[in-house]
Amino acid sequence: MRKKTFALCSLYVARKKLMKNTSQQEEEKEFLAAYDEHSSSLFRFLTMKIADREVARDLTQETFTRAWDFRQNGGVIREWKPFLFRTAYNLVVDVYRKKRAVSLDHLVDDQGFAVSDDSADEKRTVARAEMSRVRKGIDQLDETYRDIILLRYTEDLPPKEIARITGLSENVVSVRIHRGIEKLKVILGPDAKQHL
Amino acid sequence: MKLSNFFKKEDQEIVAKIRAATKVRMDDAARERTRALLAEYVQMRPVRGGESLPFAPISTNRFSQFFMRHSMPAFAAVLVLAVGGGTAAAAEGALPGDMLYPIKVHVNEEMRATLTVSPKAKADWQVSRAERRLEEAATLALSGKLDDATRAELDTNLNAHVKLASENKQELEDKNDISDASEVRTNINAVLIARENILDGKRTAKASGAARPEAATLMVSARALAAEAQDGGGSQGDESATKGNRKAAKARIEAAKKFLGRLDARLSPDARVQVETRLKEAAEAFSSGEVDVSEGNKVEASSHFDSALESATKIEAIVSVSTNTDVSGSVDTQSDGDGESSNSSGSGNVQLGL
Repeated sequence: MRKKTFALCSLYVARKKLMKNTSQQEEEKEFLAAYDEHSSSLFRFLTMKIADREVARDLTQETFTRAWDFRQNGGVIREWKPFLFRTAYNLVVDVYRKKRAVSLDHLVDDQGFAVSDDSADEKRTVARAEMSRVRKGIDQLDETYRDIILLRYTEDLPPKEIARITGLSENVVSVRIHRGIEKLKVILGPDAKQHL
Repeated sequence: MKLSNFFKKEDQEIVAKIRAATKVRMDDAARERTRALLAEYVQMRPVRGGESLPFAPISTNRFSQFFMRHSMPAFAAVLVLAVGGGTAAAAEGALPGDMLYPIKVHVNEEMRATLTVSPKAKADWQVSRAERRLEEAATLALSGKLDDATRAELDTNLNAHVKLASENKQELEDKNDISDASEVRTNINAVLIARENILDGKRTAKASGAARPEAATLMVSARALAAEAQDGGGSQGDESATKGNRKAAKARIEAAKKFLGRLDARLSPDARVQVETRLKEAAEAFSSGEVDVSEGNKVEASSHFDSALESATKIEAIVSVSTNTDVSGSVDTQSDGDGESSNSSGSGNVQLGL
């Protein structure tokens, strides 16, 4: 009887250990999957916000370690993307208060601007110049508009999520998106219409 | 209708241009490196309730490859796995002399150091580690456990952190990143100034009638660095002094909070009231200083941090008198009077030393 009870207890403990191990592995897998899925966009947002690739890389890493620490302490992350962006946004506001020292245009090498392969060199050059002009325009936007425009259009986040990230109301976010675009049009000037 | 469609189309086109113009990619090598570091990080800090990995089968081949690729983080990971994630978390509150203290300093902090990439981030972390040593010293001093051996150990560790931060600062200067290098230099000087307040033993020297030789050396090095900072501009020296007072005040306030939480039984009721009053004063002045910093009022910030430091420093005198002599009624007047003059001259020294 004693032996049987001991065996049952051992089995229970072993099963519990296995379950915990499996749960830990699942957590890790989910976390790394979130990194694979969102690290690029997070890095892009941070680079655009602080204009420093190296620091953006550090902050991307810090964002993920903070997310894990939150999980480790029993927090539940239902949707990774808004959670990570909110963490990164707060990290920049709380920890990294330095102002942008470099223009956006110096950071981007137009890797992401896809010009079709059969484009002529001249067309390619014109397109790059236009991209540079748009970046300079974004640079001139006030930070309150720039962040929201980047979150909305570069990161494709809906106003509701942007509101949660920035701590603003959804209404204010929608207004700033609209005004930001209008301001950008004004900054880009009449030339914008020619290129558009 | 047609007009609205026109605007909609125009918006869509400008949106497409925003998207195209703001594409930035992390290079693949950096991305993979960060991923590997995070994979190690999550293994070192298992989710509460979960088990760490010793039970997970790891093939010898993969294990050796892992070590070859990331020797330091892997070493830290193995240590944490050996002691368990919960232990590592518990070690965070450890003080010199505690069993878990080596885990805090040699495992947790080293692990965190391996997770920093840029020289600026590395320097910032080393400065934070130096601040942690100061907070430990302040906490031990309140408990009456800061003996010479512990003080020397903390000094040595603090020196090592400052040295590493200085190396990172040099790296930033070599890369011509003057702004970050200057910020790191100010922070290093600030830590040294804070150390002068907490570790140089002015109070101890006064009580025993003899200054510690190592304290004199530290003060010389702190002043040399601070003087070096002034060569680069008086405002940088002022900033170091303000930040130094801020760091020292913060370390003392945190230490006092911990002390009140842990050892309140050792204090007489009167002394406890005095400590709480001083702590409140210090915390309020500190918080006003933070507001001034955020609003760019440098002079006011400096003055507030100085007051915070004065109030926080007085706590040590009150605790010392209360626990050593059981005198409660005379502590206020006595320590206030002495503290006022010694502290104001003390903080004066700190600033004059610049």
